[in-house]
Amino acid sequence: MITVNVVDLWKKFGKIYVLKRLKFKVEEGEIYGLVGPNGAGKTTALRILATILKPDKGDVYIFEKSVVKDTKIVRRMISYLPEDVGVYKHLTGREFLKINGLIQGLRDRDLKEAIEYGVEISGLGELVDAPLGSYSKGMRRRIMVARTLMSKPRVLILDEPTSGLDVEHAVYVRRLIKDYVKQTTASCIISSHNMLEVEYMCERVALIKDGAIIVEGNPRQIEREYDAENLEEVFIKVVRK
Amino acid sequence: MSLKALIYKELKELLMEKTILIGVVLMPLLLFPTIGGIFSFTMMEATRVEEIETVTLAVNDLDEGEYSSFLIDRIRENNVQVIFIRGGSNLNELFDKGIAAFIEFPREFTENISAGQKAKIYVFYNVKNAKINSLISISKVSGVLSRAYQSLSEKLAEEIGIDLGFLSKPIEEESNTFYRGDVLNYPPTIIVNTILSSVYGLPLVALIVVGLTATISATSIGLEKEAKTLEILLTLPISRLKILFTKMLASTIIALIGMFSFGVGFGIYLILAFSRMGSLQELSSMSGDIEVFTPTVFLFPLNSTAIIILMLIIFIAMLLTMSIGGILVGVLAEDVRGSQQLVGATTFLPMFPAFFLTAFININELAFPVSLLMMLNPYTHLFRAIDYVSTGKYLEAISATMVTGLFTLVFLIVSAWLFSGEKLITLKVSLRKKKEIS
Repeated sequence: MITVNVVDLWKKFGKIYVLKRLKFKVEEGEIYGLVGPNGAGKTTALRILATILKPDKGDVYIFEKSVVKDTKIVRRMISYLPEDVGVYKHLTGREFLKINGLIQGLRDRDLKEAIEYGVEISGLGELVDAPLGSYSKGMRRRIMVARTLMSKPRVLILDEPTSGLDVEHAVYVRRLIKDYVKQTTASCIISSHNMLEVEYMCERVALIKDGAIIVEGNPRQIEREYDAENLEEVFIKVVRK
Repeated sequence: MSLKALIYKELKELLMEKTILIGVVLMPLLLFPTIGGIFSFTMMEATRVEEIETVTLAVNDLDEGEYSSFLIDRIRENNVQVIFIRGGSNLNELFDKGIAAFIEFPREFTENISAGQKAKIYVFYNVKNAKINSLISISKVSGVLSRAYQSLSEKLAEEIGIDLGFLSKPIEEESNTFYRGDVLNYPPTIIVNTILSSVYGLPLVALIVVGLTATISATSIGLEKEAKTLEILLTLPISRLKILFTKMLASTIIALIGMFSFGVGFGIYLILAFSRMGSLQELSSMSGDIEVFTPTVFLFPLNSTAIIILMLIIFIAMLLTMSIGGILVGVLAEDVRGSQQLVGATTFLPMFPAFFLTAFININELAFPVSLLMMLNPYTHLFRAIDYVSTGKYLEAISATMVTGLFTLVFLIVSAWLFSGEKLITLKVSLRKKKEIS
């Protein structure tokens, strides 16, 4: 079942087109990776999916609902993790999860369970009751991932989910996301610079350059197609073309 | 529930923010009492009884006549020590000994007065320094001399059989003031002072608080931008109007806390600063014509509950307008610093022309483009509303408040439009223009 359908997406800032005829589909229970050089349009594409930006042309359908026209419904189905996201430094981790749960419409038992789930997957233990301002970068990312997953969204939109994390934290976060998708059959779109991460997590990847997909498919298939040992080699070959 | 959660988030983030907590809540509570305490301490030190009571005058009575002796006796009656100097005197030596003033009666002093001519005396005041105790000492000497001169006038009048009290003030005026259709048994100066203090004193307090509200609300957006929390907030299933409303409400609540803090701090300042006013008044009264501090008497029309409620409505309407205006500015700015700078320019710049023009002239009588500009300034309507209330034009006051409400609505619509689109993310008004896309 197709859950995310990106149709002929165009977006420009000033006179520069950042996205040109971008299109891809994501299935239920699939992790789909967007890779590409800086300025390729990955973050812009994810921001459109997350209803923050509006496309100049084209649309994105999430469970057949348009991100442009049915914004309110779409927002109830998605959860977005930006690459460069900060925290409300005076709220504790638990307060932050609770406020997010309340805004996402969770009440009573559902809210309590969601907070417990968030606290558990954050792996922060007692520190969840400390102010977010006192958290390290890794801890902040973990509470943000917990926030993204706590309301059990049907579509995850993750921009560089392990950006700036050390190996231990990065492995933890990757495993968390993979387990979540497996258990809930949610769809997940990930943008990443880390080819190993994409290769490990994604069933399919798309290489974006200058706002359009130039290669798409299963990481192994693409590697064979380009006679490369890994996705990094494919990336270098494609980008230098 | 989501609204309550958002308000909690806003209040906690803003109140725990050092610039808001210190600048808005703690500073007035600490600053005013500190200034009041310092003032009170200074006055206490300056008016120490032992210092004031040991004022000493040096007198060189070359006249040694009836009237110079009379004046010296009157001076002595006021707890002033008098040292007599004979012959030539060195002022430096005298003043080094702590003499407050040196008085010289010329030889023909009594003779001139007896002949009905003005007599001269020479007084040299010792200004030790430019401090308050020096001023107090001079005031006391000056006051004692004035009263001694008055006694001499009364003595002379009695000698020639004249009623000095009658001659100096043969007419007693009973002042009444006709204002807003009523005759009031007060001199017009009291009435005008009261109106001025209520019409233009209150807006000055209002100016501080409404300016504060705009800064707080702009900061709340600036904080979201700076902390990079806005992107997540905008993807949550909550309406933009709700986000705006909670920011507006939280900023208004904090501004009211700030106003309360300001009131408490200023109250403590007044108590501390004017606790020494009694001794100052006493001293001033000795110096004759020097005007003493008189607290403003709020005679009318601000003693009615209905009018106070109306003033509160005007004030809160303005707080809301400024709060949403601040949000609008915050949307345009890049970070907290940028938003606070922009608020400074967009809030205080239109505030002062509105205040002064409303205070001194009738806006309707201004030439067309200027009057239109003033009407487009939300502050104009705040001051007009207060002006109308103080002059009893309540309907006009309500209509001016409604115009303020209209500004709130316009600001809210523009802000909601900016929030609903991507401008909130992409719009950055800054001297350094930069846009990063990927």
